[in-house]
This record gives sequence, structure tokens and C-alpha cells, in this order.
Amino acid sequence: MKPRLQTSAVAVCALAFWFMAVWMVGFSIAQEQQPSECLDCHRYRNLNSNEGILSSQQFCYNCHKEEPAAHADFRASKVSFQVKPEYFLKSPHRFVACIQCHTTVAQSPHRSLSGVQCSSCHPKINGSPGTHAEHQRVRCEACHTDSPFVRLDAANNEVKLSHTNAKQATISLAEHKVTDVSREEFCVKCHASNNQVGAPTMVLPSKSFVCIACHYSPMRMGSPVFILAMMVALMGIVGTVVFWFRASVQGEATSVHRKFQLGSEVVWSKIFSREIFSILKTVFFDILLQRRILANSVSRWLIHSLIFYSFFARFALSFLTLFLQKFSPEGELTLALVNKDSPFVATFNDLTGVFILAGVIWAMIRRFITKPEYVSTEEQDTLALVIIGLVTLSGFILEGMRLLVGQIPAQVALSAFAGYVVSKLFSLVNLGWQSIYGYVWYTHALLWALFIAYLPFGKLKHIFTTPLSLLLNYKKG
Amino acid sequence: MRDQTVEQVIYWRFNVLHRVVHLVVMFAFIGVGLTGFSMAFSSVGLAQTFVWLLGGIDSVRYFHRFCAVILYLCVVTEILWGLYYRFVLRGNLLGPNSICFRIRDLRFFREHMGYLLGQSEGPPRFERFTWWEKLDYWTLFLGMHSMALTGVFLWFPEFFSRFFPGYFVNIAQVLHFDEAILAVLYKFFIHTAVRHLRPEVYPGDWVIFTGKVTKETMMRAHPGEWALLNAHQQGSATRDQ
Amino acid sequence: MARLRLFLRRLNTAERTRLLRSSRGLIIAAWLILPIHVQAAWSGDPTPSSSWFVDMNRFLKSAHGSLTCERCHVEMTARDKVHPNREDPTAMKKVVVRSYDYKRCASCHPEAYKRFLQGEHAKELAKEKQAPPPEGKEPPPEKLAPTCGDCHSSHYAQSKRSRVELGTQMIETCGKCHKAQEASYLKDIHGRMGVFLEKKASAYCTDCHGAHTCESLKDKNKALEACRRCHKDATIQFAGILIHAGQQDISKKDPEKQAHAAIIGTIKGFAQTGTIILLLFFALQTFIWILRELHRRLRGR
Repeated sequence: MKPRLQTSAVAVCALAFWFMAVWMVGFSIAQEQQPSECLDCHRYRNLNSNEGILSSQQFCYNCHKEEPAAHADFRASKVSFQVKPEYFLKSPHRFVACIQCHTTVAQSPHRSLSGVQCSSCHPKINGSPGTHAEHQRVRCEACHTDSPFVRLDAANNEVKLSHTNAKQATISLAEHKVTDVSREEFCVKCHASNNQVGAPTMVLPSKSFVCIACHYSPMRMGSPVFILAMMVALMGIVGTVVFWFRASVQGEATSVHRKFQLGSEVVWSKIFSREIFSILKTVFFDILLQRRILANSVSRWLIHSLIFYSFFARFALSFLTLFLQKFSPEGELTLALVNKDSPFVATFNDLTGVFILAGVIWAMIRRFITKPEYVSTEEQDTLALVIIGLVTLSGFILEGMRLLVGQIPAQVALSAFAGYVVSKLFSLVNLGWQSIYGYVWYTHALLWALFIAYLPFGKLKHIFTTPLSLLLNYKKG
Repeated sequence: MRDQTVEQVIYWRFNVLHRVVHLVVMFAFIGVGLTGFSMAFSSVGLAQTFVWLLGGIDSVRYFHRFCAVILYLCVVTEILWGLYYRFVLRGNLLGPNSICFRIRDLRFFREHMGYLLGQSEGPPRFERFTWWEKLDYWTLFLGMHSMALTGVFLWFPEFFSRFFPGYFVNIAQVLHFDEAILAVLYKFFIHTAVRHLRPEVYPGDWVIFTGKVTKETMMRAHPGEWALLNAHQQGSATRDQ
Repeated sequence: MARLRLFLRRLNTAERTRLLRSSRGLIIAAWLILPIHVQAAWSGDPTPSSSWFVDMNRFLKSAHGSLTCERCHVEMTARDKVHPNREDPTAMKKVVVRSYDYKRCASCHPEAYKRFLQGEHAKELAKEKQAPPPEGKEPPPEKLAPTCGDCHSSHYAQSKRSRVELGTQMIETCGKCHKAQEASYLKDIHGRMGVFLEKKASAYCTDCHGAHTCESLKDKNKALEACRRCHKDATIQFAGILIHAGQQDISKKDPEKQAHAAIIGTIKGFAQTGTIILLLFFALQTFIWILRELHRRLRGR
């Protein structure tokens, strides 16, 4: 009995001790765990590590993996926010944390205030810069998400993905499906007749490299019209150079090789001699500052400068933009310069355009109305003036139509002061501007192609020949 | 031989007092403009850097007021000089040689504009002071008074708000700023361009520092005055040809 | 050859250092010219205070770093509390500062709490409690009456900051809701001196409007009291100077101030138009003048 009692007492004691130990240990574990309980979920993850990304995704999946019916929200609004892992794993963004794109959503109140932030990883203008530059007010996801519904947010001047379908019923975009941009049909969801987002009906091609004389444009040849124009221009240039080399060079009259040899020898010896300074002086005063024209007449200098410096400034700015776009595609300055609605660019373009137009009109007045005796009118000159005038005029018409069709808010559009006036004039007449826009665009582009093609033949040749002849005859001047 | 004699003839245009006043006004104006604009456009980084270089906003304010007082003292000097000239030297403040505007300046202005627009071959026959010289002088002279008036409003707002309603201080602020913009842009760009960049005077017209001009300059820039001087010397009546 | 070697050696030592030094000067000059953006600690905050994630590195360094989570978020650990409550659609839509009891701040900061209760913000809060916005359709945070957390960062509240730093952050904090007032303050002499030029003696928001009381100074006598804290000799007319002189700042119920603002606006319009016209005229005139004289010179006349 006694040993049994003893045994059982020991057993009871041991048991009690065991329970106490377990309780103590359990308590102490509980005590240790308690402070970290909040931080199990609410810790700030390092999104530069795989662990951080996966656990951050897991945090969102805690709720968003579930069947939609499990949510009170769904029962209220009937929109599913369920992100099925099997869909998301097919996405190119499968190794990106949710909050890296939906940057402002993991907070209270739980709603996305700034939308998806593509630009935290992707530069805003990359891949096809010509297309992206024209669509700066269109949010990335509006095109790159596979959903047919888009809308224009007039208050923010942005084209966004719509959360409702054509019947104003809310739709779910939780599938995260990225559009295949190699198909061109996806342009048509905006560029259709009677669209509500302010896009022209036609899907217009991107600008060509030759447009860089006045506008920012990517290094692409673009439309075949421009290829044709460039070819004509090249043929003209080659023809002119061939014509020049028909003449004798330093006494050599037959061998083309000898002519090149002698000619290049002259150029080489001029560049590496003291004469280079007087040549540079000629470049500065006669070519850049147009000294000879000023000697001719003040008003002629003003007319020529209005056209020449405006084109020169526009070319310089668009070339700078191209350069910046290549080397700092995400820069603030680049984005501002690429965007033709940004205050500086809009004002600059309109101002230079008005200058060119003023120069052309002034020249026309002198040519046909006041007719001072020293102005001799030639048909070639008139043709050149008419082409430049029409290109500029169509440019302003196009800008006015773009401001009107695109429903650009007045405070943005006002920077383009001349284009704004044109758009106000157009708004008086209710034509189908959306569909006309494409034709005017092609007219503008064709006129410019004509300019390029005409460059080596008519009066416009002087852009190259006058500086050249000034350089060749610099001693006389 | 002849060239040398021509060059040796010298005409005095500014005495030492006026040269000193111009020099002082020049530096004080630059000082007042830099400090003033660095306070007005303080959100610009360059302005903050400038303020930092001068040792903080307090010293900038002191410097601004110091330069402003110097500027106003220059104006006072000019007034005293005018009184001295009139009553001690018995000079004529309204004659053709004076800095004051005359009816004739309107005609000069119109003729000068006609020359700029290509209606006549050369500039009109200006007298001792051209219309733009008079404009430069009087804009600064009168501008200093209004700048000083608005300036003291901003300097002692507590005192002036005893006599005027509070929003006058706001008006003073607006006028002080706008006039500063006008004055600084005019003096730094237009005055400088007219005095230095014009091909006739390029690279600079140093008369305000040296006080004297040659006979050639006199005949070119102030033919009216030259003719008048010669008329007096030779006793001839053909003054205005 | 010996000369060249000498030249190179020289370039290696003295010249090179000089070159470096001069280019360093250029670099410093470039830095000086680049705009310095005044950036408060708040705007540089990588995690807004409403974020669900707490950066412990920064929390432990903050003024509240010694407190445990439950000390403030006490209701989270209450019995029968389901934390992300999926059955309550409004739970997720609630503004973060509403999800904890701001009265708990009073246990450590009783003085500030008492002053807050006397002030305009508390009055606005009382109004809001009487007529609460409909469930689920709460306005954005900047439209709600503020409590402690709307102005103060609780997780990352920094301590020991200078007056200018505090003041600059205050401008941004108050400016989140009072945008027009922030803009007009920054145009005013106090804002330009205090925020951009870092003058300690300038006045920041609470220096006039009172810390935690946040009074309106529409009453001139009250405003004068505020002015006299710095401008000892101020009279009642001095309080009539418009500090927040923007269009949106002046209430429509104050016809006197409206009239003053209209006068100032008219004068400003005239002054600016006059300035622009005069400058344009003289610039164009000088330009053509130079051209005309160049033309004459080129013609040899």
C-alpha cells in the first residue's frame, strides 16, 4: 500500500509539476509571442528580397484569394476582387508584389487613390516612343489591360480604364490580363467613330524622323510617303553634287577621282590652317547672324529671321528632346518636353509657329502688295513661301482640332494660345472633327513630305547652297 | 596733323559729382536689386543660395535697406545740386542744355521712331540730352521716390498702419515688387543694351565715367548741341540747319 | 623632348591639382545653382502614417518607440474582436485615424488635449458627430474634422527638431487641408522668410493661430492679439494687413476684406499690364534700333 501510495503521490506530484511546467512554458511562450503578434502581418517588408515579395503577396492573398461570395463587399457591390493565383501566375508580373504596382492601396481607407503605378518600374516612354509620346494623357493600363472599356476623366485630363461596361454596370478587372500589343486591333477600342475619349477616328501612324525639323519624333522612317520624299530629296542632292563635280576642280577636268582628291585636299588644308578662324567668323556672322541680309534691308532681315530662327529653334528643341529621350527616358525634363501639351512646349511651338506665319505673311505682302523696287518676284520663291505657309497653317488647324477633339481642358489648352483660338473657332461649327482630323493630319504630313522632296530643287535649296557658297567665297566678304 | 587737332577738342558733359553719383547709384542699384529679388523669389534655389552666401536673411534685409538709403541719398544729392545750379551758379534749368523734358523732345521722339522704322536715313539732330537719356534719368529720379515711399511702408508697417488702413501695406508690397521688376529689367537689359550693344557706341559709352566726349562723338550724337555751341562761338545765326 | 617631359611632370603635379580644384569649383557652382527643394520630413516619408505596415527600424527611433502596440491600439485585442473583419464592409473603408481612440493620446499629452478641446478643430468634430456622414460614403480624409492623428505622425514622430524644420513641416501638414492658405502664406513675407529663407523669428501657422487651439482670426481684435506677440507697437489697423491674400482665402461674409482684396487686385492688374507693355515696347524698340544701326554700318554709312 505504502509504496503504491508513494508511487501515486510521486505520480501526482510529477503530473502536477508537468502541468505546471507546461503551463509555465506555454505562458512564457505566449508572453514572448504577444508583442510580435501584430507584426506577423503588419511588419514592413523588404520588397527588394524574394521573401519580402512572396510574403507581401501572401498578405494580400489572405483576403483576395477567397471566393467572392465570402466577402461582405462583394455582396454589396457584386464586383469580385478575387485574384486567382492560377491567373496571376500566368502574368508577366507574377514575381512582383501587389503593393509595388498598387502603391497606395495597403492603407486605410482601403481604396486605391493613385491607381496602378507602372512608372515605378517602366519608363513612361519606351519601346515605341512615337506612340507613347502621343498618348501621354492615356494611363498605361488603359491600353495594356485586356478590357474593352475605357473612359475620359475630364477633371484630371486622363484616359483611364473604365470600371464599368457599356451598360454602366460595374465590371471586375481582377484577372490582371496584359494585352498583346503585337496585335493592332487594340488601338481600335479608342480609335473608333464616335468614341468618348477624344481620340481621332483614324489610327494614325507615328511621326517620322523627318518631322524632327519642328516636332519631337523618334528615329523611325515612318510612313512610306516620307520614304518616297526622302528618296526624291536624296536624288536631288546627289544630282546637284554630280552637277557641281561636272565642272573642273583646280584645273582637273576629267577624272572624278582626281577632282575628289584635289577638292578634299583643299578642304583639309583650310581646316587645319589659320584660315579656319576667318571661316568660323563667316559661319558666325554671315550664316548664323545673317549679316548680308541685314546689310540689304532691315525688314528683309526681320522676315528672314522670323522664319529661319523659328525653324532653327524648333529643330534645336526637338533634337534636344530626342537626345534626352534616348539618354534619360524617365527624366522630368524629358517627359515635359515630349508632351506637347506641357506649358513650355505648347507656348514655344505656338510662338514659333506664329513667327513663321507672320514672316510668311509679311513676305507675301511685300511681294504682292507694297512691292518695293528691290524685291523681285520669282515663281520659285512664291512656291517655297506657299509651302512653308501651308505647313504652318495646317499645323495650327491640326492643333486646334486636337484640342477640340481631345477635350483638353481650357487651363491646359491655353498655353497653346493660337491653337486654342482655332479650337474655339472650330467648336462653333459642329462637324465630325473626329473623323476629319485624320485627313488634315495626312495633309500636314504630305505638305511636309513635299517640302522635303522639293528641298534640293527649288528656292529652298538656298538653305544649303547659300551657306556653302558663303563659305567657299568667304575671302571676298 | 588735322586728325590730331580734331581729337584734341574735348567737350565736358558730366562733372565729378555726377560721375560719382552715377557710380554709387550703379553699385547700390545692383545691390538693392540682387537682395530684393532674392527675397521676392525666395522659393528659387538660386535665391536661397545667395541669401546663404550673404549670411542669412537678416543680413540680406539689412543690406537691402542700406543700399536703398544710399540710393535715396543720391537722389537728394541731385536735388541739392539742382538748387545749387539754379541759385548759386545762376544756371537755366529749362534751356536746351537741361535734362528736363521739353516740348521739342516729343518731336525728337517721333523723328527717332521714324528713323528706326526706315522712314528717314539718319537720327534727328539731338541736343545735349537725347530723349532716352532724359527718360533714363527721370524714371530713376521719380522711381526712387515711389520705391522709397512703398519701401518705408514695408519697413515700418506698425508706424504707417497708425495712419493708413492695413491693406495699404499690401498695396505697397504689390507696387514695390512690380516697380522693382520694371526698373531692374529696364536698367539691366534695355539701358545696358542702349549704352553698350548699339553698334554706334559698342563696346561701351564711357562718357558717364570719364565725363568728356570728343568732337567726333559730339558731332555724331549731339549735332544740335554742337551747332548751338558753334553758333555762340562764331556768333552765327544759322543754328538749326 | 626634355621640355615635353618637364611639361608633363608639371601637369602631373601642380597643374592637375589645379585642374581638379577648378572643376571642383564648377561642380560646387552647379550644385549651388540647382534649386534646393524645401522638403519636410513628412513628405520624404516612404510610408504614410495610414499604411498597414510599420517600419520597426524607424518606429523604434521615434518618440513613441518605447510603447507597445496595445498601448494605443487597445481595442484590437478586445475579446470577440475579429481583426480583418470580412463581414463588415465599412471596416476597410474607415480612415485610419478613426480606427483608434484619439482620447488615448490624452493619457500622456493632457495639456495638448485640453487645448485641442477648446479649439476650432474640436468644434468641427462635435458638429460632425451630431450629423455623421452616411455609412460607407465617408468623405476623403482632408474633408473630415481632424483629430490628433491627422496632424501628428504617431509611428514615426521625430523628436528634437529645429524650429525651422518643425515650422516647415507644419506648413505642409496644415496645407494638406488648408491648401489655399498654404499657398497664400508661402507668398506672404512670413512664409517666404520662415520657410524658404529659414528665418527663425518668422511666424509659422500656430504662432498666430495658436498651438492645438487653431483659432480663426477673422475677428480683428483676436488677430491684433496674435500680431502683438511679435509686432509690439501694432495698432488695430495693423491687423487689417492681408496675410492670406489669395482669392479663396477671404470669406464671402467679410465685405470689408473683399473690397480691400478687390482694390489690391485691380492695382496689381494695372501695375502688371503697365510693366509688361512698357518693357515690351522698349525691348522691341531697342532691338530694332540695334538692327537699324547695324544695317547702316554694314552699308558703310
